[in-house]
Amino acid sequence: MLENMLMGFDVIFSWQNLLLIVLGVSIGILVGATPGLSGSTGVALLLPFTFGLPVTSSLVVLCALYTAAEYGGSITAIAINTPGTPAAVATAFDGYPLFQQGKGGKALGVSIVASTYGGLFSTLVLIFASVPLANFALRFGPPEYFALGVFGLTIIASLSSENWVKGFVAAVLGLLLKTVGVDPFSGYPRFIFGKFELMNGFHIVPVLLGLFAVSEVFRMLEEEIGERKLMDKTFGRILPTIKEYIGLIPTILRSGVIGVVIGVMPGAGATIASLISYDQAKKMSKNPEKFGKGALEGVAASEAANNASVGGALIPLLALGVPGSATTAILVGALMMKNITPGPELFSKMPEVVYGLFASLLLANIVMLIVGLGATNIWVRVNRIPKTVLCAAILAISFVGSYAIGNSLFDVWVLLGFGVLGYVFKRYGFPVAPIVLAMVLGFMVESSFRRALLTSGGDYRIFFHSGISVALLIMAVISFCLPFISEYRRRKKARTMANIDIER
Amino acid sequence: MKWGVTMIGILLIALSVVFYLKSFSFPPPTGKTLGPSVWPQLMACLLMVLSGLMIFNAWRTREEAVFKGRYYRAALAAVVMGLYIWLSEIIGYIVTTIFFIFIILYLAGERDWRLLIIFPLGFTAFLYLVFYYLIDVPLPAGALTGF
Repeated sequence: MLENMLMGFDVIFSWQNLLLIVLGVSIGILVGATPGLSGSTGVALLLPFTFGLPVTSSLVVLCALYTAAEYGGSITAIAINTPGTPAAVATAFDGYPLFQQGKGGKALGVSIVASTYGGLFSTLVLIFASVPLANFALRFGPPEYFALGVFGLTIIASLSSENWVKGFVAAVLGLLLKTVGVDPFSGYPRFIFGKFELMNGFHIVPVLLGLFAVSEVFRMLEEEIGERKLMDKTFGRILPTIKEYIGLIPTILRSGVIGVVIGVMPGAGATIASLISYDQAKKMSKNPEKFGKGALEGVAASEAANNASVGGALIPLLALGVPGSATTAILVGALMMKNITPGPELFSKMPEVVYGLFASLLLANIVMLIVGLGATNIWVRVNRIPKTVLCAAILAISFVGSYAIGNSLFDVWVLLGFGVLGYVFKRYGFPVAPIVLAMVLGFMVESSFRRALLTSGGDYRIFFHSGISVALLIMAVISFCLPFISEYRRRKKARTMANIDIER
Repeated sequence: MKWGVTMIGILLIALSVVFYLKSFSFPPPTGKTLGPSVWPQLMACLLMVLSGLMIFNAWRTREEAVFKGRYYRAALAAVVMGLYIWLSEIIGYIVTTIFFIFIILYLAGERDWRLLIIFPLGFTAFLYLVFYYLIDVPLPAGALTGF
C-alpha cells in the first residue's frame, strides 16, 4: 500500500499535473462561488476540455474541481447569503450573520480550515477503506453485481425526490434509454430506428451536459434574472484565533465523520451531509441558542461535512464501480471516455490511475488551503460575472464539448434533446440524477442480470444463492419502502399534532 | 402542475409502448439464455405502470410547479439552439457561434452593448483556439463559407 502510494505521488509530481491541480482548484472555487453553477455542472463542463489529456491527468483536474467547489460555495454563502452550491446552505445560517457583524474573515478562516480538514480526512478514509472493499468486491459475480446495481438505483430514486414515483420514473426511463444500441450478447442493434449514429447508444457526455448544464441554462432563462446581490462589506482582517480553532476541534472531527459516512451512501451527498452535521453540532453544543446568529461551530460543521462527503462518495465509485451521486456519475463518464470501466479490477489493472488519484486528492486539499487563504477577495468578485454571460458560455461549451467526442453533430442533437428533457423534468419536480445514474449503471445491471441467468440456465433462484446478493436485494427493498415509512410517520405525527390541538 | 405531469406521463407511456412493440421484432434467444428483448420489455412495462401511478397521484394530491416563469424564453432558447446546430454545418462554426452567443446574451436580458459585442467575439475565439488548435477537433466548417 505504502509502495503504491509512493508510486501515486510519483505519477502526480510532474509540472503538468501540479499545474492541473492548481487550475482545477482555482476553477473549482470559482464554480463553487458562482450561484447557479454547482460542482456537478462544473465537472460536466470541464470534462470536454480534458479530452486531450491522459486519463490520470483528466481525473486529477476533475476531482480537484469537485473538492474545491464544495469550499467555494461557502464564500458567497457567507458574503451575500446566497449559497454558491446547494451544500453550502447550512454554511449561510451562521456565516452570513458573522459577516454582518464584521467577522466575515473569521467565518471564512473557519470555513477553509474545516473544508481542508474534511477533505484530507475523507481522502484518508477513502484510501484505507476502498482497497479492502475492492478486494472483497473481487469475489462478486453477476448476481451480486445485479443486486448491487438494483440497490444503488432504488436508494437514489427514493432519496432524490420528495415524490418517490417521480424518482423511480426517472430511474426506469434511464434504464430503458440505455437499451438503445447494439446488444452486446446477440450483436443485434436495438431501438436505433434507422440511425447509424445510435449503434453505440447515447454517448454519455452529451447526456450529462444536456441534463446538468443545458437544462440549467433553460431554467435560469425562465427565471427572472434580477439584480445581482453585491457585498456591502469586505471580509475584514479579523481571522480566527488559535483558541477559537482549538475550541472547534470536536465539531470539526465529528462533522468529518458524518460527512464521510453520508457521502458513502448512494443518493445522499454533500447537501444532506452538511445539514445533518449542522443539526448535530447544534444539538451537541453547550450554547445552541447561538446557532443561526453567528456561531463559528455552525460554519465549521457544515463545511467540514460537505468536503468530507467528497472522499466518501468516491469509495463506492472506485471500489465497486458504482457511483452514488451525480458528480461521481460524471467521473464515470470521464473514465468511459478513455474506455476504462471503474470497479475493483482497476486497483490491480491500473494502480497508477487509482493511487495517482489518491495522491492528487491529498495535494488538491493542501493547494485549496493555500489558494483559499491567499485570494479570498478575488473569489468574491466572481459574483459579478453576469448571469447572461454564464448562460451563453455554458451553452457554447456544451455544444463544442458534445461535438468533440465524435466530431458529429448528431451528438449535439442528443445534447439538445436531453437538455429539453432535463428542463421539463426539473420544471415538474422530477429529479434528473436517477436518469444519469441509470444510464451509467444500466449496462452493468442488464448484463449481469442476463449473465447470471445464463450460468443458472434460466433459474431465477440464482439471485438468492449468495448471502451478499440477498443482503443487497433486501436493502433495495428497504430503500424502496423508505418513502412509505417516512410518509406514514409524518401522517402519524400530523395526526397526533391535530389531536393535541383538539384537546386544547 | 397536474396537467403537466399527466402530459409527461402520457408521453412516457407512449414511449414505453413503442419500445415494447418494437422489441418483438428482435431475434429470439439462442438456447437457454434471455434474448435481447426481455430486459427492455421488462423496463417498458415498469415504466408504463410507474407513469400510470404517477398520473393517478398527480390528480389525487395538490402540488405546485417547482418554478414558474417565462417559459417561452426557455422554449425560444431551445429553438435558437436547434437552429445553431443546423446552421453550423451550412455557415460554419465560427460565424454561427458568434451569432448564437449574441442572441442568448440578448435573450437572457443583457443590454450592455459593449458586452454584447466583446463577449461573443472573445468567447468564440477562446473556444476555437482551445478545441481546434489544442484538442484537434475539426469543428464544422461551413459548406458556404469554408470556415
